[in-house]
Amino acid sequence: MASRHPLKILLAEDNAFNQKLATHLLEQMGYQADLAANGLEAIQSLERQHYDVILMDVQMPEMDGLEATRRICARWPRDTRPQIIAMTANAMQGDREMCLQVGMDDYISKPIRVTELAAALERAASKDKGKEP
Amino acid sequence: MIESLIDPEAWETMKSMTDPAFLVELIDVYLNDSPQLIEQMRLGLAAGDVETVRRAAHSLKSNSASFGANRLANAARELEMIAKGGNLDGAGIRLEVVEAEFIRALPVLTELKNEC
Repeated sequence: MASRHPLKILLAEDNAFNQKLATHLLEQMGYQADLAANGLEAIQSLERQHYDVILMDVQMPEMDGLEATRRICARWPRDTRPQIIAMTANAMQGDREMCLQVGMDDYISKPIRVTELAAALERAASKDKGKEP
Repeated sequence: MIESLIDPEAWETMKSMTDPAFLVELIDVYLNDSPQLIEQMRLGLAAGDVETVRRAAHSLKSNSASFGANRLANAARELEMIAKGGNLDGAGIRLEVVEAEFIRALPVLTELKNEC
């Protein structure tokens, strides 16, 4: 998948178990994702280099995914910032809306499932292509 | 016995997503992390630290659901919900349920791991 859709991916996730699982699933698709343990680290990573996609856990210590997304969207214009895909275990009504409202582009639910992850990355890759000159 | 503690569909999904060697590694991470999360809940509860309890319960819920350990995930979710409410009334009993469900799930997961 990575050869068809080369993407630079940042995984923002504090939970060691989910880090391990997501990193492995991404590796299986051919992606070497960088890690950030909270929203602040995710923003610091963006300051250092460009990413095409952030897989953003919603519940993180220090700074959660919602706040990090607000700040990223306030700071980087839409065509230069990464696609932000929310990952959340809160299967509650209105969660998806809340993520989209703060500026996230897409949403996958936890537990992480490889088909859902791959589909979200496909969508992100096609949007990413669309914005290139 | 296995069916009631680990949802077979979720387990099969997990197996289909990856290779057996990685699954063994992942179960080991889970079996190592879960008692630590339960300990954090215990300490948080003793200290009246709502946020620590909520966070640890949230992680255990999420991790357990990955394997289809749904009874344990639900017990952790109930504790998370109590902590989310801002106080720890009734959290002690919920934590006991979480611990009991973990002890029940432990041999089943170990068995599934050995079958990988």
